[in-house]
Amino acid sequence: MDLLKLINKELRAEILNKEIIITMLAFGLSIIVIISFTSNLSKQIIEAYAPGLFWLMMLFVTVLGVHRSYAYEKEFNAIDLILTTPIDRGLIFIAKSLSGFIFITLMQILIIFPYFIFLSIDINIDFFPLILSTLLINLALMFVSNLISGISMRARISEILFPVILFPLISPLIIAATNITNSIINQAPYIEWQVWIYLLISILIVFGLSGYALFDFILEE
Amino acid sequence: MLHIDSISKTFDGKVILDNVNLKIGNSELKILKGKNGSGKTTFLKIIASLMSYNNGKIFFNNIENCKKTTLRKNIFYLGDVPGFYKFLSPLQNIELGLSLRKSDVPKEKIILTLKKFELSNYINKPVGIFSKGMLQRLKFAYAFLLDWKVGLLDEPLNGLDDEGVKLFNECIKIWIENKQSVLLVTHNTDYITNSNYDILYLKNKKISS
Repeated sequence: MDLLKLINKELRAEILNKEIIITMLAFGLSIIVIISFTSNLSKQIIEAYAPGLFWLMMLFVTVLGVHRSYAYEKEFNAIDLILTTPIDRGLIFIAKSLSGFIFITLMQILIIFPYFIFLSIDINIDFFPLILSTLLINLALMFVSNLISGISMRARISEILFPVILFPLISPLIIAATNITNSIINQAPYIEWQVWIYLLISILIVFGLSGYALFDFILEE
Repeated sequence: MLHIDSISKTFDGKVILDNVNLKIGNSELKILKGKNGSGKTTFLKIIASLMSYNNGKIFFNNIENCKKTTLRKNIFYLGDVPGFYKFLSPLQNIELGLSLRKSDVPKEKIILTLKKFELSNYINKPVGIFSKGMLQRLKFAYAFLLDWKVGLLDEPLNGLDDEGVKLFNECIKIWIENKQSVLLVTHNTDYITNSNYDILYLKNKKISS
């Protein structure tokens, strides 16, 4: 119940401010347009690099969105309104991760067709594993970035600290995401890319559980 | 009711609080004074379990080192920063805080309380447009609606006009009558000299009367 209240607060913040989705969307679309007009590569090369490019774009979009989500907690020290209540603080982590998951998924729905069209990528794949793996990767992106954002929130140089800690820690996830998407698009047998699925699930479990368990201590001054 | 036993706190090796003791009973108001940077806010945040501490014990109702959730339910901290979401209205902020505290307060009562604190014209306006004094009134309205045992008020008189101070005094009177206790940090000399409450000093990292 508390979780729903917190998610509701996150969604309400975005409906009123429209900052996270708009920032994510503007950045994503700009990247697609820039790449499509500046690269003069063959279709095969574009298709080979498309998944990596997509997840790299998602990484930067995540940084923007998650950073904004914590920035308004710091304005007016608004987070005190929640921290002074007797709720389980792990739920703040879960609520922020789930709302971020909703925002990034929405953004991907809006961006995916321009991505395929502008980069002239053929869509002839099995969508079910692609969608399922993308949703899991989105959730993992949010678990990792929310944990790091929570850790860096109290720091004086949080704007610098957040990406500096996040990028090395999230690299294995981006590598796994790229390989999974690439393998699905190329219809490679599952046995060849199952290791990346295991890595993805491990990241989900480790960062999801540690974020939930540690957020009480992380948010303590 | 609340007993702080030998609390110590260091920041980057620098001692801020050194074996600080304090007892607060029912229906008590204590005023805590001290120089800027003496550790008053740190002390309040430790009691409110918003900040960790190095040594010592906190007893609430004679129970040693209560669960943090128990302390957060019974001890209410009103900081010197607004502590509200800028984009939400006073009503939405209060409703969010109350619902997370599982306080079942009807909307009509919240609106009536906001009227009492002269915020009725701003019930649906975002808190981001509020002046310092209005934010202080909003904090009192929120504190007024909550069910707590010990209130920790950090500089609540900042930015308040005479009418606001009067409202604050009314709140204090009601809280004390309701067997609630208040630990108040203020630099307002007029307020301190005109009140009959216990005055404590945080000096040299310790509290003295």
